[in-house]
Amino acid sequence: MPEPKAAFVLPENLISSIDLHRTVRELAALDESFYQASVRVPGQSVKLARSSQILEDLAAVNGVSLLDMSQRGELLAALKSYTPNAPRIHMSFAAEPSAKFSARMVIWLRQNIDPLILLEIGLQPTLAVGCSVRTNNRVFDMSLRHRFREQRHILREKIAEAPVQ
Amino acid sequence: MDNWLGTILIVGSLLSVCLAFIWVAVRLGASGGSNKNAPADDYGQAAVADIEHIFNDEFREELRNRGRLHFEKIIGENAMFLQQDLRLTTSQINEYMKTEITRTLQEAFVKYEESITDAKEQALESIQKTQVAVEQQRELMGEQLEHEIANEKKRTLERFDNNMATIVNHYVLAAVGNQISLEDQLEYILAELERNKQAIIEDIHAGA
Repeated sequence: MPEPKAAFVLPENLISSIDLHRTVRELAALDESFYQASVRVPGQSVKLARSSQILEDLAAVNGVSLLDMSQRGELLAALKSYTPNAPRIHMSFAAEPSAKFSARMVIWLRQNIDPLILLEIGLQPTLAVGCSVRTNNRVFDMSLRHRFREQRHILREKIAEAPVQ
Repeated sequence: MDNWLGTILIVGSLLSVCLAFIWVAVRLGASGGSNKNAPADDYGQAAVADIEHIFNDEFREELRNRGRLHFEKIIGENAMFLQQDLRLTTSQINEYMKTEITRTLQEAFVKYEESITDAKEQALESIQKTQVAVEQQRELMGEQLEHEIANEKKRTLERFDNNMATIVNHYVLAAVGNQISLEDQLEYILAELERNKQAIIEDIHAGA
């Protein structure tokens, strides 16, 4: 898979591929609405598409003016080329994470793993504590259960040290 | 036996006396007849008459009565002797029977005692063998039980060891699962991510 070029920056609130697809659709709709406005017949009303906070943040962090057709088009093209090959990581938690938590996770991932990585979030109630991370080819068990399994020699030693009653 | 002998002697003497008279009479009659038939007949007739006179019916009856009385006496005595012999024999038989019965009973008792002793010994031997077998079986069962307990303990420990993480995790989940928020876990998760950071980067960049 060719590594996507860092032609743009993803905002913190654009977390998953769903957000990305939605943003691309919004951007395309916005571009279409601007195009329709430019070719409208004088006197005819034009219904402009609304932009979401994610799209506005995306434009802001990339210094793109959504009113500028060329910048908008470049951003849309970059997003469309990036979407199929975007690096993804799937993380399962014991409960539904808050937006703040998700933002913290995605910031860490983009700072440490890949600046354009997308985070897919799932639920796995049996985890209790920790998470399960799935990449393209591997699964990383970062749960407390796995930690217990790794550190069970400590428990064994403590049990062995305990006086027999 | 002495009475019988006396009776035989008496009867024998009587018969010899009679035979003597008869012989004398026949002798006298024979000598007279050879010389003079008439006087011989007379002497014979006279002897018969004398004999008839001497051994008349009363004398014969007297002899018969005396013989009957004597015979009755002998019979009575013999009966008494027979009774005495019978009593003696009975007592001897009783004694013999008593002795034989006692001996037989003693032999039977001895045999019975021997049988009882043998049976007792056999029973004791059998009990001892049974005790030995039971003891061996008990020891064997004890060893098997200890072996099974050790195996079960080992299996339990292995199962506990293998499932220790799941057990503790389940306990933690049941105890404080609802009280640990993801925000509380953030540091732990970030630390785990940091620990696996290189592997994640390599797999992400390696592609599908």
